[in-house]
Amino acid sequence: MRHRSIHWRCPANAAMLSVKRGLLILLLAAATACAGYWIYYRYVTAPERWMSTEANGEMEWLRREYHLSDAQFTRIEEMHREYAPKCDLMCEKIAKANARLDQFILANKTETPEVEAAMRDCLAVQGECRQALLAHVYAVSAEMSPVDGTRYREMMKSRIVEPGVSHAAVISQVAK
Amino acid sequence: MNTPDPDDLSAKLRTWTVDPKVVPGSFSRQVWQRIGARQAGREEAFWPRAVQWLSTQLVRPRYAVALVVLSLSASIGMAHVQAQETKAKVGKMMEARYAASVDPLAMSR
Repeated sequence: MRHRSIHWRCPANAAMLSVKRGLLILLLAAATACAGYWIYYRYVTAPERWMSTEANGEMEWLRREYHLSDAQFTRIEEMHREYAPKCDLMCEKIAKANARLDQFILANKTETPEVEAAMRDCLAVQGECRQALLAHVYAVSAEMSPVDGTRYREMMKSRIVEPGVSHAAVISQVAK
Repeated sequence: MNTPDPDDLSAKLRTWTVDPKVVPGSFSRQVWQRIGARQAGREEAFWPRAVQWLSTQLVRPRYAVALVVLSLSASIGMAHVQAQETKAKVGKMMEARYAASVDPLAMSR
């Protein structure tokens, strides 16, 4: 009888062992898949994660997006540095003109010469800033290769033509 | 002493059947019969058999390696698609950041 009991138990034990080993292999495959996903994703998106956290990440983005050489990047960075204080000054002028117009609109119940003048002033300052931005865009694109320069102007065009509206929204999809 | 006719003996032997009766006290035999019946029932069920079959296949090195390679490839493919989406999203964000850094109107808002 003892002999028979061994005969009956062995297949069940072997089957259980086989199931356990199968599960272990499944777990191993799942763990390998998770590790592969994580490592690949982290490795491929490392530059993007770095750019988005860096203070000057947008310049690094410009370098990568428009395939700038070191020399091109140095010149563009220099231009960007020179342009930044002018941009700040223009920003200040716009803010002041906007505040003045805001004040006049609130103070006057009808359209007065002061309101009109403030509006004209506001538009003049904005026009001046647009002009300066356009000049900067042309100067930067001139440093790039013709293809990348065109792409860069295309990207910046939406900011000048219709600021605040996305590029996709400005350029009609039907007209394309 | 009469010796039986060999033909008669052969005929009797051919018709003779053994019908062993289970001894009433053979408890262990009945237990084993039940275990056997239950085991047979379990073996006939679909899922246990499927799991059993899968396990048997998986423990073969060839299939185990194939499974690991396949799941790794699938996960890397998914990671690639996800990474492209992330790159495009961050690209748009950086584009807006760059444009804002040179656009006085955007800065004044």
